[in-house]
Amino acid sequence: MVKTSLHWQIIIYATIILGAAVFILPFIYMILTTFISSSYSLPRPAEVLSVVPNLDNYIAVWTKEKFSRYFMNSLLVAGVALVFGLFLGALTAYSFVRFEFPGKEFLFRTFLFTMMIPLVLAIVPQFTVINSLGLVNTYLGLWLIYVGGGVVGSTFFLRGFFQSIPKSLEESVLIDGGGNWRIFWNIYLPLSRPALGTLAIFSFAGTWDEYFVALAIIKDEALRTLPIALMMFQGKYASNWGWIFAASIIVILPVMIIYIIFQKKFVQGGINEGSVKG
Amino acid sequence: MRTPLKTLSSVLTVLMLLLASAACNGKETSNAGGAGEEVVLEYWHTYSDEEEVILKEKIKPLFEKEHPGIKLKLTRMPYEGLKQQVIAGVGSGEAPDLMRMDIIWVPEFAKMGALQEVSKFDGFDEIKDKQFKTTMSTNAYNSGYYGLPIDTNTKIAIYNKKLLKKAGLSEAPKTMGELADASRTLVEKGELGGIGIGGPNSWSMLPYFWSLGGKLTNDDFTKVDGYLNSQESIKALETLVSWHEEGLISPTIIGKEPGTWDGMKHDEYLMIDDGPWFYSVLMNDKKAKRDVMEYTIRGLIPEGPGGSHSVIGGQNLVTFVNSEHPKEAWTFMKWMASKEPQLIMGETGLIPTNKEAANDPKFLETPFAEEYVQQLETALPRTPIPQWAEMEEILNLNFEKAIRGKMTPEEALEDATKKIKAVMN
Repeated sequence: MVKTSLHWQIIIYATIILGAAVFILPFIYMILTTFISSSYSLPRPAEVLSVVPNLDNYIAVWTKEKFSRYFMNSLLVAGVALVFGLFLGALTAYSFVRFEFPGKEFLFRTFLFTMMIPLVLAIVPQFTVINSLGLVNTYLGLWLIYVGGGVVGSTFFLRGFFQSIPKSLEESVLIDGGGNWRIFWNIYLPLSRPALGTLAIFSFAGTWDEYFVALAIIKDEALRTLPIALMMFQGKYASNWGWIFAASIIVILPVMIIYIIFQKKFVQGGINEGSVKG
Repeated sequence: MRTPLKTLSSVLTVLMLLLASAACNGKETSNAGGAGEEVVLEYWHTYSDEEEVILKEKIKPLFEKEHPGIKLKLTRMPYEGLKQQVIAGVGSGEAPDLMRMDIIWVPEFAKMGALQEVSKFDGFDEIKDKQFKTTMSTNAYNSGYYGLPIDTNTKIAIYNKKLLKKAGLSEAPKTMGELADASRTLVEKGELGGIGIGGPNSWSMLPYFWSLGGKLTNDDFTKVDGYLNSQESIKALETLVSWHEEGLISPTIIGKEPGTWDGMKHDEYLMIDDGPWFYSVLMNDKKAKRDVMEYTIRGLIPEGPGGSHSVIGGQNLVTFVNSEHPKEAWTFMKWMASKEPQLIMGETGLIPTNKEAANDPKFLETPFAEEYVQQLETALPRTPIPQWAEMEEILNLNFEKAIRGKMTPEEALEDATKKIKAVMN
């Protein structure tokens, strides 16, 4: 390996640090704002930078009517949608990669097409369907939409990944007498961990943040999810920004935790390298 | 780019709505309404934190006590995407029984056929006579009424005491000329522009545009040509543009900081305009460092060639056509428009729409109420037509273009007139 000169190292590190600072500064600013009380107008830099850290706003937000309850609701909704969405998506992707059936390409394109429809347009028909199934105001109705929508995205994403898995690997299973299920469960899923990890983050963040559908389907205040509670902090005429930011921090914590859990998978590419003799 | 996309999406939404409502005719009817059975009215509202407390702890128990057999189920809705929620609800027959909605939405939903015409109900005329005429008029569509006003508001001029003194004045300016002079004096002394217009949008601009002599439509709201592009309107917008060029208007008009509340708090803006929530929110803030009553004084929107005209905001109470309990819903609406509940909600600074309640000494005790009630006498509604949303978008865009110097005021208003005319037909 050629040793990089000190000069270059300094330049590279400076660029990296600068880049990181650009991304992290607004976030730090946001955290500092959560320490400010009575901020009906956005506080100024001087106020923000001289603030004494305290948890007043966090406590106010967390103990505010049902906020903690909404947090648990959201965990349940996003958690179940994550597991089912990923599993069904992987199964669908597998069938698109390994099975031949009539209308396969057409079906796949239809899948893609549904991804292009803006959510706002789909909300009325989706609601109508859920309503005629009698699932308004139930999590089942919500999951149906989330999982259904999630399957499309994850199929698209995983199909490409599955195609890169060498065929000879599954032949070894077939020789040992295993079937499709075994190939899927013991070869495809373990080898796709990086892709699944990435998808898990996106899927969780997607349903965790989802607002429009949740608001349309869930009518009962007690069943509402976190993004709706977050939006309630925004008043028509005035908003307490300290509260909004504190609530936002609480809302993004689980997403960050999920990210930390799964981020290792991002870089763990190439598991199947060397598994097949060239 | 935004406008055609938005139009397209709203057209599609309406199409889907039609499809959806056609598909939903077979909706089952519940067995409620039988003798002795309790009726639950679902009520969507958008009250703020403090207002919701009063609603839950005072309004609901009082109504239920006076009307055994009717219960209220309160659901607080967030503003974001609320219109889509209502459309989805209406389209699938799942709209609530009652809703408190922004006054500017009523004609639009009435045109969609979503709202119950309340002028057909018993005792409507009696209720109507007790309301302020202008707020009542925001419920009108096609010679019928589709809701009752539930609270109203308007904006008045709020002055910073310290800067007013620095401008050499001891009380609030009475005319637009005095306001401009005061702002000029302060700008010469190195202060920021003192006329606090919140942004280049109609809600912020209209009080000045109207007071300076501008008009949007004729009095029946049917004709825009000859009004929006009249000499008076052009002159009004020209005055605003020239003030902006002179630096007399606060930087908020082009979206710059500090915001109006912030600039007022830090003694940077001579004047801003805002609704009663400015006082109710800030006075309720236990941790505020400065007492808002100490550093501000209130005045009417200064008079110009057109008079002193602020803009009316507020909420109306409506019931939807697919409500299964129209009779009970109407009972609640009538009750809510009566004096006592109006006074109870008035405790939070919401201005009653019932004339008796608004002039009741108990309401006028609210420290800031008087000026608002006075301003309401000459305040004007934004054009109460179903196409207001589109009209507003055109106005906002052209107001901004004029302020930013991309169009002359005359071009901006001629262009807006042409486009609004097309939308109205």
